[in-house]
Amino acid sequence: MTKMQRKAYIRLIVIGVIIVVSAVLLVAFREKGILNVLGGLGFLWIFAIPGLMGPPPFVPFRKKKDQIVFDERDARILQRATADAFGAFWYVFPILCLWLYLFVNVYRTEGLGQISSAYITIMAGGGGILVALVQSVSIIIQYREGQR
Amino acid sequence: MTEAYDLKNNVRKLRFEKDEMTQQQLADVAGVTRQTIIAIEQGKYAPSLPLAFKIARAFGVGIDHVFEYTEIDPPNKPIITPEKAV
Repeated sequence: MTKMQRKAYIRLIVIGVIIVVSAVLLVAFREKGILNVLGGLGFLWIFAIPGLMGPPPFVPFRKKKDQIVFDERDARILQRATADAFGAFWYVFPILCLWLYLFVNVYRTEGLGQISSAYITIMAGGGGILVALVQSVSIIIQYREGQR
Repeated sequence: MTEAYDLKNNVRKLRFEKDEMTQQQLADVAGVTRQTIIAIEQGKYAPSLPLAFKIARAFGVGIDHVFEYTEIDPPNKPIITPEKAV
């Protein structure tokens, strides 16, 4: 397994933990009624940071002296995975914007044009997580299936 | 339009002929990871031209001895006659 594969798996685990922890906290705070104290759902962006930054530096990668850990294939895979990730982002982001306008503005606030800033934070954090998620999945698939 | 092609290689065969060279040894000579050599042998990765030359040089043979390129179902390209080309 290459270094990039390991990183991709670690990022997936981190993202999985982020989603589970966020969901648990969301339900817990909602039940206690302290959601607004934390600035709506905006606190969730805090959990997006580890997912975006990838694995922490203390995660060890065994490497022999002069061992090559990144070559042209890895570069090609990373390039394509990044393109996939940003491609996915630009498909999903306009949909999120539309949802924000229709659902939040039109239905929830009856067209008053008021949207909580918390939603914007969620969109930014969610977008970041989406990029990291698609990139990691794409890396894993490309290593498994191969590419030309 | 992307053309369908088949890129076969004799890397595994040549490794064994070259004193049973290991994948890691070939990777070190070619300057890539062992995973890349594995992917090339399995036909999962088509190397760049410089890498293909490096691999061929590691075996001391020409590039066409290592890689075989075959077009699958070649596209029906219109034949351009000198009159039409003008």
